[in-house]
Amino acid sequence: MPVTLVSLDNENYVVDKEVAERSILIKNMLEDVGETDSPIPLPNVTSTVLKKVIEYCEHHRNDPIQVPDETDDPRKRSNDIEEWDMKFMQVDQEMLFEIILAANYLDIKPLLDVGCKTVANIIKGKTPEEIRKAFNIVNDFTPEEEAQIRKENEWAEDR
Amino acid sequence: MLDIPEIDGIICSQLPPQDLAHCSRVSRQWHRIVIPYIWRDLTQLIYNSSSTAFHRIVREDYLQQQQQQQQQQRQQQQVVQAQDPHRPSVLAKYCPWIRILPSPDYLLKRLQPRTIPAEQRLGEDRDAEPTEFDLLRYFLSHCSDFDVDYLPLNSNDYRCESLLEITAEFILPHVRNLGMSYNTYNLENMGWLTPQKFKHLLSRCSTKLEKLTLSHGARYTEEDVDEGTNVWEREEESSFEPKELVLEWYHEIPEHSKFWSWLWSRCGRVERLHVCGTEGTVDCLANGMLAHMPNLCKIHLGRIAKWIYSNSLKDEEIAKLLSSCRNGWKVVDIRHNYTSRRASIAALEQHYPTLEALVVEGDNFKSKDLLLLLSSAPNLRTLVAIDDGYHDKPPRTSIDAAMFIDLEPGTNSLRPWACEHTLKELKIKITDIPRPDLGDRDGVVKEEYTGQGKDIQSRVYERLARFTKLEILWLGSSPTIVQQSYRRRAKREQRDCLEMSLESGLHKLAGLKEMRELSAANTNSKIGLKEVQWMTENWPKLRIIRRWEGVEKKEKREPDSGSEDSDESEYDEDEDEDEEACKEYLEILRWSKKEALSIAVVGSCQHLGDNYERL
Repeated sequence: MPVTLVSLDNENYVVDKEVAERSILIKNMLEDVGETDSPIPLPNVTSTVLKKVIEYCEHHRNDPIQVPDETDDPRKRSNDIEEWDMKFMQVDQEMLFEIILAANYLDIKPLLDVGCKTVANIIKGKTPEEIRKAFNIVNDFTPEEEAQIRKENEWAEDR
Repeated sequence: MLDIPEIDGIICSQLPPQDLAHCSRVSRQWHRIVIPYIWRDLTQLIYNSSSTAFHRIVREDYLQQQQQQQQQQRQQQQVVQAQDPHRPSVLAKYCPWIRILPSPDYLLKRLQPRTIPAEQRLGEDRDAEPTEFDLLRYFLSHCSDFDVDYLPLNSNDYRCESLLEITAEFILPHVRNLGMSYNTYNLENMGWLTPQKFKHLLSRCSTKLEKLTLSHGARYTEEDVDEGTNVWEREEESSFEPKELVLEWYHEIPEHSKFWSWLWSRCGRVERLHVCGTEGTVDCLANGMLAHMPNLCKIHLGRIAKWIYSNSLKDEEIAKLLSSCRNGWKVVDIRHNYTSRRASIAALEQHYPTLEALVVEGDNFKSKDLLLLLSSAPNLRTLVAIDDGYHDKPPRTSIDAAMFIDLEPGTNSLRPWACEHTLKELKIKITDIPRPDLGDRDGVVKEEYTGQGKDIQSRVYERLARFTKLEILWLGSSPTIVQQSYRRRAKREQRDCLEMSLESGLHKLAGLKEMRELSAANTNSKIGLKEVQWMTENWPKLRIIRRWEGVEKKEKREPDSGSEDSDESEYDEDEDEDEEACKEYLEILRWSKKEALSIAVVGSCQHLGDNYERL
């Protein structure tokens, strides 16, 4: 059964229920409402982002639902982004953050993870100045403050 | 960073401390977001043990605070001086974020005075240089909201009384799992550690304490008698009430009875008791269990692990402890206890109405004991009669097939068992199944009439099929055994076992819809491609099939130089079987790869060598 999703700017997207249910938010909504033809409004997601999210869900429609694994150390999972996901995430930064926000709102855990990993990978190995450049951030520390913070957290950096 | 806590949390947890430290200098906003993640877990200090940075910040903060105190004193004494601007303490700023600390002993080592550069040295005044104890005390006084998941204290910690006092004051209130042990050969270091001191230390624990492990470590000396007489009456402020109590070495001597009575009185919440070994009687413990532990429902008797030495409990002691439970045992684990005999088994039988899980291992639990348990325990969820951990011997507990089938007398139908609709996990060795297909070899049981093997197998499947909730089924022995000793595998593989093939009646298990895990390791079972296909079709929740561990390829075998001649023929037969099993395994692997199955077909792939590479 297809489901109609409506973006913030009133674009309609018809997708398979199985694809839409990658979003736990939508899955729960459908469970609450039961069988329905009425479109589902998603007032927090623009059409450009929703298109992208649907593309992700289409590709991952057959993935097993993630079971949270307690033994899984989040620090060790960092680099294992699938090739397709990696390509999928090659977007400009504004889009990247929009996708993360949408994944968070729609409750699509694997997409949220991939998005956050992509951001982490941008940060990794960069100096503070390089990070500022990468994310277009203005340094609002005085040089003294920055030196002090460096000193205070040096123990974590030193190895 | 987006300043949305959940999202920033995921990003930060992906970053190693170095990158987080870089992030903290990017901007004020980023600093605020990442600081909790940098300071959260101080166990990372372990990974950069050569760094002096930690010592430096604690020392500087300590000296600065000392200076400010002195200034304040001078101001109070009306001595007017030019004042330094008041700098906030770095530790006061960051320590509240700390949630996980390494052991106090480790922290102390990291705070030992290092070579301090000449210009920073404290002039002539050498007394002003803080010791590691000063620094540790100062540092810990800023940490207030942390957890120590596990703190093992041993002889080395007791030797240093000042460290132990700091530990008691600042760390014990935050410990979830405390272990207090000692080695007898270090006794002279701990003459001061009396039962009274033990009580004092334990009293510092808070409601956070979930698990307490005591290796009876209190030494009693003559001098303590006088100073200590009132300690036991005095109500110290202590709120700890562990849920789990482990007595690694329980020694009941009259001089300690006050300590134990005091400890039992704090055990009202204890649900699980583990007694590893004892010396002397267990009367005081048994009385304590009945009088003070109303919630007790799980018991583990015997060594924590097979290779850890401790005195075995005697049969009467086990029986006594098993009889001292007010509301009936739910979980009983007597895995590594080889002295559980009739008295203890009889005591255990009284608890079958409440029993939910039983772990036994050893040759004292006979077929008829297992039969009585399975047929009469209405709440049984787990029966483990195979050592499912590390082990180097095949299981000694087993049930013979005729008992397992358990026909109603005078009829041809299976007697109903009490746990048919509750049992979820069954790990058991079923023996005495004739397997004429294996020829005339060691360990093969002969048929009394042609076709008897098939008949028995069919009935065993019928019995298994009645466990409608079954999730985990292990037949034979632990899969880890093979890897321990390949060479004697021939003698270890079970040959009076189920075939597990469709021809032998496996299809009768089609109704076990909850099946998640099947192991037939170390048995001569015949699980081929079509069996695996059948299982994946009929058991939708299946995740793991274990069978092929230790299956070796011929050319991978080391040349057999020094082995005994008598073993040779046995090996040759095995190799043929291995070749076959290996081919079978590869075929299954290929298929499961093609189908993108989400189940793990477990075998030891390293032995498959080139063939596996090609997959």
